[in-house]
Amino acid sequence: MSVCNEGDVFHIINHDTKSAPDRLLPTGNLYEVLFHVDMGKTRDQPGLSECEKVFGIVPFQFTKLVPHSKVTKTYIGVAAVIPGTEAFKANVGLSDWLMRINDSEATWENINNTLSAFSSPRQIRVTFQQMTTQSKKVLLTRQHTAGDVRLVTPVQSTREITTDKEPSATPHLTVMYMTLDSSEDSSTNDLLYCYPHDNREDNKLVAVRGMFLTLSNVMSDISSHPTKVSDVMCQGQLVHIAYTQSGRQLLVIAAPSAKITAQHLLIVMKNCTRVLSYLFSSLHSALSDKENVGRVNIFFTLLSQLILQSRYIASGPLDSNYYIRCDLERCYDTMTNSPICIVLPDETKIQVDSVLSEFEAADFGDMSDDFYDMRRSYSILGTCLFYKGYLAANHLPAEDMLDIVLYTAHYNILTITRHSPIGSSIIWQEVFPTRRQPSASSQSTESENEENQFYVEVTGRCFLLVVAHKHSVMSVLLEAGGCAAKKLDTFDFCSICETKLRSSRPPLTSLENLQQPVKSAPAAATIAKGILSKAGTTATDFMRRASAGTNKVKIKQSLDLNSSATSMGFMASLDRPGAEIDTQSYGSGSSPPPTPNSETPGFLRSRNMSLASTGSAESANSVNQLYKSGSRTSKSTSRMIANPEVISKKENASDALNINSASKENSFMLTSGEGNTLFNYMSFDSILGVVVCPTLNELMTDDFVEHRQLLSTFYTTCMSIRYLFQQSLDAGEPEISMVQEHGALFTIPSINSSKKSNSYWVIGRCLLRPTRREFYVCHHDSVSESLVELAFKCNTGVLL
Amino acid sequence: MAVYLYALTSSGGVPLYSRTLGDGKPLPYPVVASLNGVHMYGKSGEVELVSADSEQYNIGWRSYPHSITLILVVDKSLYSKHQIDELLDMIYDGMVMLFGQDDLMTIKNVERFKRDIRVSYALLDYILQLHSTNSFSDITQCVDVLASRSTEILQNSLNAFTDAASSLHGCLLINSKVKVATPEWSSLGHREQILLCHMVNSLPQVPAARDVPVYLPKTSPNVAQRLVTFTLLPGAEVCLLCGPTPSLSQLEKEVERFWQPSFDAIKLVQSSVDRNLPKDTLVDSNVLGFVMLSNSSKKCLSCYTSEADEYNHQLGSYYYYIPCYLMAD
Repeated sequence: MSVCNEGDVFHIINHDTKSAPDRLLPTGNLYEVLFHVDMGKTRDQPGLSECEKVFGIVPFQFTKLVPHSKVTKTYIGVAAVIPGTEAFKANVGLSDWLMRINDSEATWENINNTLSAFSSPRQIRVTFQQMTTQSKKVLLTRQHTAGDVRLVTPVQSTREITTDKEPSATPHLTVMYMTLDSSEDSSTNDLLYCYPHDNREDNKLVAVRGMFLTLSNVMSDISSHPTKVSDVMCQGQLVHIAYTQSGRQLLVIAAPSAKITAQHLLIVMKNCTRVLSYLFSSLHSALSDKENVGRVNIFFTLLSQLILQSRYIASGPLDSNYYIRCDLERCYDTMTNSPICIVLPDETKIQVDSVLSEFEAADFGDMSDDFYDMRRSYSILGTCLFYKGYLAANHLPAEDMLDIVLYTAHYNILTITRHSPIGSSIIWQEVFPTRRQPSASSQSTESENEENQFYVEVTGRCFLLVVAHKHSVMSVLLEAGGCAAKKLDTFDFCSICETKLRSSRPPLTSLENLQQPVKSAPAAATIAKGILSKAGTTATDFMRRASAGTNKVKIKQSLDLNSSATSMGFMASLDRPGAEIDTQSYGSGSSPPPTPNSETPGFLRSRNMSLASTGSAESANSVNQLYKSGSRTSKSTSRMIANPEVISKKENASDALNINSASKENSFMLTSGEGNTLFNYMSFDSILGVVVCPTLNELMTDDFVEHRQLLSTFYTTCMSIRYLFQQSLDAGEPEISMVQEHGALFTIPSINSSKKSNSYWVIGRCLLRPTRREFYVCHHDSVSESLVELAFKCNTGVLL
Repeated sequence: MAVYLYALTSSGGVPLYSRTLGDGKPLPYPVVASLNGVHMYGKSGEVELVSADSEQYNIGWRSYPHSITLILVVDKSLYSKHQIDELLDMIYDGMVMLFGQDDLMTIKNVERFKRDIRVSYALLDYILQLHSTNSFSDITQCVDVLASRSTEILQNSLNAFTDAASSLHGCLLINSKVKVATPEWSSLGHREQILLCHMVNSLPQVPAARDVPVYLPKTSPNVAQRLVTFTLLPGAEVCLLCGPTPSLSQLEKEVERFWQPSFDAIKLVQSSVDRNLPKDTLVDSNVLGFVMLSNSSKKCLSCYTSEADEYNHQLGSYYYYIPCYLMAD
């Protein structure tokens, strides 16, 4: 399923469009929408279903018992609404049931015939039925047990927040964009944008918005610095408010303190302004232009869903696992603000990079200049590839990549692909990279300017193409103008979109129909290629070459997936060491469930060796015994391979945590010695903008409460320490030395009273030169200092 | 490193007093008025402004029922948001201590109150300047204590002296920190204990004795007690909370009898006061300083082991960051 119009994809719901989603049947209010239909106009859009053409609704089907009979019929639900269409304007809700067209019942079988019968332009009346609140609760309760939390919520929350009357006691996220330049006669003139828009009269914060404007001004009078954040008490709740002032305008985001800390809200604010400027060229044009209201509303709906998510934890049956998970995810977001990187085995990494490079060369078919003997429309600036939300390869400058990360993360694409495979999704979007925005250049220091004065980057209009398929997301940054052919000012989005849809859908569906573990990168390349090509007929060609290339590199051997090798791209190698979810999904295909392969650790061994030897010099003697770890299942062994640094835990801890020793046979250990001393590894690199650390899935597969507790304490402590580093840097204190260190000791009480409770140190160091780097170590308090020093040395040795 | 404190009447926004400490210029009146204005405007819309941060300053608002609105503007490097809350309460309680809660809640004559409140400037300024002293009570909300030997002798002397004064609450302050106190003194609210110490320290040093009426903000906000202090040695004062009797002169006669035997012990404590630790307690030479907090008894022991001033300064500023984040959770 793909939705695309003027670049805004906003909902991706299901693994497969054709099957009914696991949702409840709509039983809520009925409402009617009038559509103006002109089949003559819509006919020239092949590749779209009638529903999409006529209403702008992407349908899904579900079966329901016909009342008073035993027959079930297949009905139509709204899977997505295409922005800008009539359905979008009429605020048709997602997952609503399309019941009747002009009073005649609509079913999956008869819909196309019914619609094509409208030969002349006319108005038709369509009846929809909403989801009810009650069923939503059940849905949300499901989230705690099912792993696919994020699949459902974005879709639900749109409707929930725009139409449901929530009890006013729960303050929502409030966003206001105000201006000082307002005429005094109108009371709402100063408010350029407000979210939520519906009950703004009831919203006390909106009523006192003048306070925020004044406060922001007074603050600049006192100290010449604008207000960053403030707290207010509203209806007995403490609410954090973050400010961004740009010229005479002020953007304010308010969120209840129970859901978010002030510190986190500041980061959210920073990211929001960045993404909005990325999408709309500037904050002002995003929020003051009436045309953008729809898109910006969706943007903030997603934001509010993100922030207020913890409400569901509080109200639903509390699953400690889920709770800690949210806790951790929040820590991750706050701490890193950078994509988490998968460290691929060298061979795979080369393959991934070479396929991406080949694509970037744009030397295929009609994409080359020679094909039509004219300049190409776009030049490719770079690509980056995500797998399960983690960065697998990046061929873009860090800033550009961060833009994409923030954008895709905000629109839940990364989160969704992390938790569960998606059908496919394509985004085509004009973007305004932060790197090229005037504010960014003014921030750079003078010395940088001097360095850059001989090189002026050609500036054209940038476009972002994001193709998501299964667990992978490939992002391509394209440039029109600049090196490519000069475009007219009136850039025709629609034709591009149509071409894209036309050319990309058939290969996609055919791939899906194969029911094979077709991996996304070739598919993505195909799609991307399809979009770029005018004809779209040679779409499969590139893919064939791509997969042929990977076959040569014998990836098959190290992966135990025997069948359909030709259609498998290099992503297979990514998938394989990935995580369990994926391997289960293979079950439907012909390939047997993968087993740990003796071959697999082979190419890693050398890598691990080098890593281990950085940690301790005497580790060379017994390679085989070296790599055993606390990972518990054979599956997690393969999982570890993708992150060789993330391994195992300490013997002391293991004892306390009742680790099953039987599973140690085929596992790895980074450190030498009898006991395993390293159980968590995380490194942050500000130049590359990436983080190496274990993934959340890995953390959460840990079955032991104590270990989870340990990790979550570790992350929260790291976050506090990181904040301290930031504080002292901001304060511009005289540097005591190049290295700063903070440490904290905590104790985890043992559940088993017969055992002693364990104490752990968390130590963070921040290196300022040559570049700022941070490194955190958590160790049992019995570990000797020399070992801890060795651990810190790891940081200087490991670079991506 | 500027600190500004403004007090206005909650109802009408009439300025009562302002304190400006540190190196900042006083804020112009329109700025103060708008600071109060935004707060009042918000309150009228049922949204109460609590705090605001910029790169440089933290601002805290606090409105006390029927009486006073306090606005505190502090340099960000001095206090965090959490501490501002505590500091505002401390300031208000300090005013209660001098005026009594009833008087503070019903200000009948604003002009007269403005004159009367000047008495409290010494205490308020002392509280606002704590960041430049070696006290940690402002960030930790704990009572600063001293660690040294000969506690027993001093405790016995204090108990005997308090008994003789037919009082329950007594404590011995050495170099502005609590050395020993009676159990009843320790059972006062921690903010009361801290405020009493601040009160004694903020009063001008006298060679002999003082007798000051105080209200205890939690224990007896409306009934005044007598805070009687005697200077035993320069820097060492014994404090008592008494009822109407005995009189100061009666007590003064007793001081020598009870405290003569402990003079040596007090001198010994004073000699080790720089480090806050007994001389014979060895600390690893790498440790430059530490702060120890007891959350249950609300006591705080701070110690600088290094002699060099620049280290002390650095450590001081270091510790100003650390405890607040530890305590924030």
